[in-house]
Amino acid sequence: MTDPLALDPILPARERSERSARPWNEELPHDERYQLFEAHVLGGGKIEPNDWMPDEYRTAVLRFVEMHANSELMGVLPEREWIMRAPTLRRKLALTSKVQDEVGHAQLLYRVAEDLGKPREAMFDDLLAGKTKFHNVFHYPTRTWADIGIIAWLVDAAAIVAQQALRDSSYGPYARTMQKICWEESVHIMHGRDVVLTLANGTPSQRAMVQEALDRWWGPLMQMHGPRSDRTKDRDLHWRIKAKTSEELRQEFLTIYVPRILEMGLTIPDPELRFDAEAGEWRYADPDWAELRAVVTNHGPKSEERLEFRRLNRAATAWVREAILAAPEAAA
Amino acid sequence: MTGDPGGTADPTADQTARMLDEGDPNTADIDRQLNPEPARLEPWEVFRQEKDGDPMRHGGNILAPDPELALHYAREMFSRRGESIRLWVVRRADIHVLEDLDLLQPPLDRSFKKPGGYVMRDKLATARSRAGTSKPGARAGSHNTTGRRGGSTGS
Repeated sequence: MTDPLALDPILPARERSERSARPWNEELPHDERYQLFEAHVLGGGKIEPNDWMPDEYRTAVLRFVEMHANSELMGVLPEREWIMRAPTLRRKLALTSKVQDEVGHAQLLYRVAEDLGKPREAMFDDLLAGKTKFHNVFHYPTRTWADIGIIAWLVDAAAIVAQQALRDSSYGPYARTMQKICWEESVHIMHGRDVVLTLANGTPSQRAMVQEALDRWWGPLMQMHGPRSDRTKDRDLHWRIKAKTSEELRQEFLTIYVPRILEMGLTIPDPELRFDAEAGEWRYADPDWAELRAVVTNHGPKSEERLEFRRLNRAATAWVREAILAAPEAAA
Repeated sequence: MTGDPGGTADPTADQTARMLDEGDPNTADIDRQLNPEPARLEPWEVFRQEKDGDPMRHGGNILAPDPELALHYAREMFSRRGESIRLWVVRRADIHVLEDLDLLQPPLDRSFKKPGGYVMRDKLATARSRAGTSKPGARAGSHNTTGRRGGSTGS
């Protein structure tokens, strides 16, 4: 290294491939390219939209992001029902702002999915036809104002546990979008916790209201991350689209939120719930997986009503989308 | 519309098609003015500056038919909480991407372009033993190479 003129001008092959952002090459045979792609992803590498990727990877990311986008979009419907019934102006503003955030998240995520090759209209068609899914927690009714607190606090908390892990996703645009989304979600959790805390410190009937809401939501919350799965068989984990198993997420949620729920003097409706210090994990009554399966296939108590609302809404706002597209030409 | 057994065709498109089929350029032209080609939604990349002095950083992208709406959407999506002090939108189609990434990492040793390419420890040791000098103390021999201005050299 002391005399630049004496250098061998060509780097050794090993050093060259370490430097290249993309070790696979368009001209390689598929199997070899696939292996290099896989090694890159498993080694912690990121994938960007312009990169070559195996169909299997593209489909898996698309399916995952589309479901997430659908959940953000459908997830505002239960909360929307309470905007006009919020108890104070400040609560109304906070709830409206949360709804706007969630729709914004749907927009960002649909963009990520669109860039993987599926048009937005096709994603709406599939959602409304029941061909694609949205999260179980958005298929349930909101009976009281306390539901709004429980949703914003605990549903968002359960979601953020998963979303924080997604900031490490191997698909670059998704990982970056999750950073922004997590930042915004953290405010929702504070808003929800404040609503729950206010009710918990309120009159006996307010306390009863918030306990009753927790009793109803606990089951869906425990189902939300899905049944335990075999880490080695999970393709989304294999491709590092997501980073943690459903059980890891549920354990993390319980570790953070069980003490905070109990702190307020609320009771968790699961007599089997306890921390097993020896095993280092939470024990709980087996969640109702049959309910989860029924609910996510649109057999939940509000599935059809919410999808129908979205269908009507899509038709009723079609003129806005048409006007936006017509405007620049008509003005010319 | 009546001639469409499936009943799915857009009546305007059908009408336009018939006019074009009938070969009446004047009518077709009027029809195009009344029913102009719709604008197309396309992706716009959004860049944002978080605070004064920061670089513009890529924030994400949105769909819009024109720059004006692209800016409105960018504002809604990337500065609802006042987290941006400046926004740019760039039509994605106007961004040109260098396809061959190998051009960025040519297989040449370019260590001479970097400070780390000049390792002088052994040469200095040789020089010291040749000249009979000793290694200067850290303070006496230090030279400010950090690019910052020192404030210690008042006259």
